[in-house]
Amino acid sequence: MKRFLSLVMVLALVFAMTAACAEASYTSAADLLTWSWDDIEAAAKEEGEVTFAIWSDEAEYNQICSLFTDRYGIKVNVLAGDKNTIMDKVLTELDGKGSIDVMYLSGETVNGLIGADALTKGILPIMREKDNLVPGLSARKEGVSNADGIWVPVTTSPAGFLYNADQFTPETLPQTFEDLTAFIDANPGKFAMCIPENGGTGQAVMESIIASLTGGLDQYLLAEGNVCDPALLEKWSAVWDWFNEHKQNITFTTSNSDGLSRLNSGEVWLVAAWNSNVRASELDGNLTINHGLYVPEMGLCYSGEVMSVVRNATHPAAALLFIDWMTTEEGQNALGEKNSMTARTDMVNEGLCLLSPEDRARNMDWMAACYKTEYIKEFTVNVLQ
Amino acid sequence: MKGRKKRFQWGYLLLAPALGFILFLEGSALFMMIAQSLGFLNYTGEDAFTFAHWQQLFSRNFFDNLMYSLKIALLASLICLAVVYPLCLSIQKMPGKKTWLSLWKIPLFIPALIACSLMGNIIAYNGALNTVLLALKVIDKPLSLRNDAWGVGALLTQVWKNIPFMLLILYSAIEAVRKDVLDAGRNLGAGRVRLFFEVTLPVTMPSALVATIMTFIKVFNDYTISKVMGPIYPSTLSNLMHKAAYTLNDWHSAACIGCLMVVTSIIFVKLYTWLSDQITRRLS
Repeated sequence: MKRFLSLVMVLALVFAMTAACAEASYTSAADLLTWSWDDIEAAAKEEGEVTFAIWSDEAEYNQICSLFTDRYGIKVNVLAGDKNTIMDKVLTELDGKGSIDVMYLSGETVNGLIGADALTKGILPIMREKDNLVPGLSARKEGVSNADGIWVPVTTSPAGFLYNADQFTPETLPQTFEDLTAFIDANPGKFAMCIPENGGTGQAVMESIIASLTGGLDQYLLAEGNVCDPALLEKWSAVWDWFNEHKQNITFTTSNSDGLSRLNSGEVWLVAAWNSNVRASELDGNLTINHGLYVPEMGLCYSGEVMSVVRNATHPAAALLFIDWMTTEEGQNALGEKNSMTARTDMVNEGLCLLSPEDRARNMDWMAACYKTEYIKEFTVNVLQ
Repeated sequence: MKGRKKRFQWGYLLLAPALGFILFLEGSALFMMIAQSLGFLNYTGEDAFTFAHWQQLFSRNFFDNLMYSLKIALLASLICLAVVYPLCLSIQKMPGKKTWLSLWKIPLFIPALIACSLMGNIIAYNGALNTVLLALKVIDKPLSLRNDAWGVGALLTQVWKNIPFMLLILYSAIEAVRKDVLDAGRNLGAGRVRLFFEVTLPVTMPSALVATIMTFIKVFNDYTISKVMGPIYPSTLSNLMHKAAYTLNDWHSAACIGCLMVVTSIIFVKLYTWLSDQITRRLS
């Protein structure tokens, strides 16, 4: 009997050790998706550090990330660089372990990274605050679908029309597409838009004009297999005709910030801009004229920052925990202190949003990615050439 | 008599750093670019051998960008050359020429993006140029000069940025022209203009050629200045390449453009060399 009991105890011990080892072994973030957050936290603490790639102010992010370090004792290595360079680094490190664990995804790089299968799928559904995150950006970013749960939104930034308040009254601000056309005709060169290949605000204006001239935005939101519907593309001849009729009176800019500096210099009176860029320019002293921001009735898109875990991250548990923390009240408030608007629907960042709730309601979703690629290509062929 | 086996010359190892640089760094990048242009090494999708990317490349968009790149590279290198010769000759005779030389080299140390901001401030809507023109009543409202259709802003920035580079090469060449030869020319009755065209220019032509070719290639392959200061359309091939790779995720077309940039640079180097030989022969 003693022998039998000893055998049972030994077997139980071996089973428990095997189970423990099995749970502790993981090679990527995908292996952690079924773990409890307590286990992920323990594994993250074991890893001890996480590398986070950004393309904005490194000093600000060091401050934000220090709060995460204080809470969990996990060091965050902030890696600041150009968004395309970061993408290149991730792509070239896909074999073996990557040196970047977590990264922001931009409209320019999200397609390339998804195409290369460089990001971990299924992270959004496990986030503890997923139900409180902005639904539009959780589902799509600048026309790219997040059906696989690849990214988690952490900030939002609506687009609006920034205007020289000395040149407009609330009644004279262009609201509809017809108003905008009339303004462009009456004030040559005073409306500016970034060319779509160089900035998101140009894309926001393009989408709004396409929607206005071809029967609304809804028809472009989904594209089976990310392939454009030829029947819809045929309707775009009206868009190119409109641009060719009015392009002499539109000031095309080379970037989002170029539009802001031209407005500030008095060269233009009305330009599409991101709320975040306007706010940053106000604080930096780069926007000194009397100005205002609004979303016209014709609507403009909104965007925001989303975070993703690199598929071959060296510190996958810390990466997941870090993203989850970014969506907590503490993380969102830390981002808010650095002028980023919250991605949480149950939180408000006082003073960060320059738009009224009525204006925010006019912010639209983005077209499916294939349509975005198409109008970027066709704009060069039909308008610029 | 059997020939003795030649001993290995260890001195050849001194070539290793240069050969390593050319073969491994430049060679591997060129190999990757050519392979990508033929459909291989696709980071973001399937790999397959194809000429389709080359077939799709030759559109109006490509030729417009190619012509713009050639135009701005040719103009910038020729304007720099035209400015640098008289500048070198003037500095040579100036008191405190070392200080002047140092001052002229300042743009070499200024990044292209900062140079663009500088030029942008001068030609901006309420910049120095418009302010002066308004004060002189030449214009009644400021002109929109940024990203002009002719690329004048980009050309001015390129000239400003590349003059010191050319100065660096040409000043040493002009300083090296033997004084006794110039004195002999003067004794024979040659004026300043004749001395320049018959002595200084032929003697310094090889250096001028090197400076012109290097400036041409720098400007032809430029990305930043054309992006910020150049016309909205067209732009340089580097910008077209960037757009293909990063905006449209078409890395293969970007590689095709890269291959053509290398080929065009080589053709123009050959052309300049031939032209320079012809001019040097005539002048001497």
